Amino acid sequence: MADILRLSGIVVAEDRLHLDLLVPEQYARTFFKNVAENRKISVLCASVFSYEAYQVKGIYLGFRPSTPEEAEYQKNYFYGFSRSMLDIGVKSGLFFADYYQEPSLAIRMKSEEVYDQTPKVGTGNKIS
Amino acid sequence: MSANQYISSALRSALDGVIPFVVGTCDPEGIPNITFMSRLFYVDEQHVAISYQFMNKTRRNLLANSTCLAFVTSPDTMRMWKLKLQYVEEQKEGPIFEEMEMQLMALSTPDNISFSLYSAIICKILSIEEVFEGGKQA
Repeated sequence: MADILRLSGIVVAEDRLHLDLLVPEQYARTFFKNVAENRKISVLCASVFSYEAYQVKGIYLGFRPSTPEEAEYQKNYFYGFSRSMLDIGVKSGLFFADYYQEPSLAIRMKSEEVYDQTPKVGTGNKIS
Repeated sequence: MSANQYISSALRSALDGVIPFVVGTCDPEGIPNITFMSRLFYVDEQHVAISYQFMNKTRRNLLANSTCLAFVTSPDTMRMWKLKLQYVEEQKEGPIFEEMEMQLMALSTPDNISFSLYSAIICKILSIEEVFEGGKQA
């Protein structure tokens, strides 16, 4: 069965082929059990303003502890996301900041395919 | 993190909320697919319905591999749950389909997304796990 992990940030490597998926360690336990059996993973990201969304499919490569810079990146992400939620009228968006917990991890994946996932008729087309 | 298989009042309230839920499926080769969906519909305390609108891959995967996982977030507290689901049947008419169609029409706007409903995919809840208990800020 598929599992879902709510990320706290994504960093795209300079080669635009590898991604570091940032997540608090406490939420990632089932993820590691699953990738031990199946290394195929997918990432979904979207704009809360436009619903524009993309899915990246690829392979799990490994993980490491987040760096202090990545921890700061995640805190900034939650601050920005919370503000965006407020902007669209979801006042409880500020609660989302409590999701972030240290320590956090950087999960490395290699991108193999990218799909348009914006909700619309005909969505799901492969982009690259 | 608690787990059970019945929908609580807090989760039911989240199902009716404005935050789209996420559904993850796998194809027969084990390749995962993940997508946003507008709303997960309450059928009874052990069943929910997924609206089949434009997510062909999700439907194909569910017909081939009958389990999936839904990730629901409460708009009131940001509380989050994972629901493990098992496909039961697809309905193209009847009271559940009609109720879903009416709710989706209420969500649609003329200038953005088509909310046409092709079918209601009925799923049994295998388990519910709370992922995040929600925020504690004032």
